[in-house]
Amino acid sequence: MIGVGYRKDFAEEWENNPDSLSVDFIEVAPENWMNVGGYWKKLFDKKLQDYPLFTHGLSLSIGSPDELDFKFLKDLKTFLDSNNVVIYSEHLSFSKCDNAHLYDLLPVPFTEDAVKHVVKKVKSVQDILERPLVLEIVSYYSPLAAEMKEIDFVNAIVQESDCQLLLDVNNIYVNSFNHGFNPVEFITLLPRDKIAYIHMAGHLQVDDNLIIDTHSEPIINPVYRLFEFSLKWLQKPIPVLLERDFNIPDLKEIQSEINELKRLYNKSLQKEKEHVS
Amino acid sequence: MYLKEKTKRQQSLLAQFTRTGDQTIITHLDGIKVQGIRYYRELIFNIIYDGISNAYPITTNFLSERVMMNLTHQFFSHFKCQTPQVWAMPKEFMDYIIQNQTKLCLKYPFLSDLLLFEWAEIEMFMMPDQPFPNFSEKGNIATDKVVLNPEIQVLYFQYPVHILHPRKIKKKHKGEYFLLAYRHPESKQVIFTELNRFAYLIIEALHQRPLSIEELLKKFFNSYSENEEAIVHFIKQAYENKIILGFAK
Repeated sequence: MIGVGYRKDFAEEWENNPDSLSVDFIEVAPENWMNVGGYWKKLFDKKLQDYPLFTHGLSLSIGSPDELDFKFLKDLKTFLDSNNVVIYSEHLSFSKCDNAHLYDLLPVPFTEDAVKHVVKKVKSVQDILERPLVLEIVSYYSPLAAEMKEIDFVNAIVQESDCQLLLDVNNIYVNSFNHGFNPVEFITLLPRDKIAYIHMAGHLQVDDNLIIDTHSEPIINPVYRLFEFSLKWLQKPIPVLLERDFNIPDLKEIQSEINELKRLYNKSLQKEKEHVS
Repeated sequence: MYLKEKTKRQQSLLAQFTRTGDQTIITHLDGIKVQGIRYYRELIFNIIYDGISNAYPITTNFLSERVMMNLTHQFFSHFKCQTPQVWAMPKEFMDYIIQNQTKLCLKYPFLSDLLLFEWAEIEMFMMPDQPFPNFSEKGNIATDKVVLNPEIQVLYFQYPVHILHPRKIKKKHKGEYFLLAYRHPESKQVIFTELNRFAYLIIEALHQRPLSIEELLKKFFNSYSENEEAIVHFIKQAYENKIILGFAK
């Protein structure tokens, strides 16, 4: 299954020409559509008649020192339930602190106490939403007060909270570049059975030492290669999403990236079948 | 709570840095890469500024990007954004400016009207769909009670920010201006239309409950000089433009 991030930027074009994009599902940030009506919602609702909905939240702030926002969670549950959302994913980061939203994803300190704190919050969220939380390993441009390795931090949270993982292949590539580790090794250390969803995107290298995860460029070849490796390593079909949030090209270009993802996905599934037989 | 004070403080300091850009905070952050941390401030500030300048293009153009960036910086440094929905954040910016930028609002007395006007378009586009009352499209406009479109908002301004460019607005323009914003029930596009005080009162009355022209005349005839013809004309136009949906069942 290959999906695309549904955006207002191309919503009208896709509505007027339904064959211009061929995907298996769509994904939105629930925050952009909760308690919303009107023109854009009308277009969105039409698309929901044809495609299953996956979601990727922005404001849960699971790694925040602040308490969970229970009013937000209540609205979120209503949205997820009423739209038959297949997957609710979020970011292993914080985007709110000292009771102020920041609207971007900041790195949580890789510490034992943060593990316990996040685990407790993940369990609460899963209880309230009555569905598994699929957490994305985020890209980050600096660690903060880290006392353990990122991989140990992620794995401890997954193991103790029983949440699932979103493998954003581009994020792993970006982090490996920014922080100097082997992305293949990092992926193989993740709990394979917990990975429920894959994201693919492009990025922007701003200088010799830093890549910013902009979702504004086409996917580069090394990220495609890491994607191929991940599919082979996972040994099971997993939904894959193409994220394009800025500098959005025409639908033809988006479709060509989707086609490439489909080709690699089908190739890996074929190999898996051959391997099994 | 499991989180140690030290961890909490580090997160709080990073959040403060991204909100204020205060470079002295960086020295208190442990185990960081300075260049990466600085990018967070830049990325977050850009998200806030883009959200605000896109929500208020006329205000941004009028005040200049430099002034708007400065206001964004002050807002984001001092105000704790409460909405989890980034598209709704510019409303908090508007409220902050009106409450805290007294000097600027005195210099430009129409500023609050202008911000409200620009925000109203977003609000009307985004607000949840309202339940539609029972109504019939067929009826007699002269005798039947008419039903108002529930997806409307009446705006009251002291300055004609919906007509004149801010540079052309002078003190002499101070007065009473009513603007109706509504969603077309089929296309869901947002439409603005100017109202006079009498039309505003009719809309307010219909907002309470469906009324016939006769009832509207009874309600307003003593206070206003408008005759039956004027009311019929307004109701007919409102019906054609889908401000009035139809007739009460």
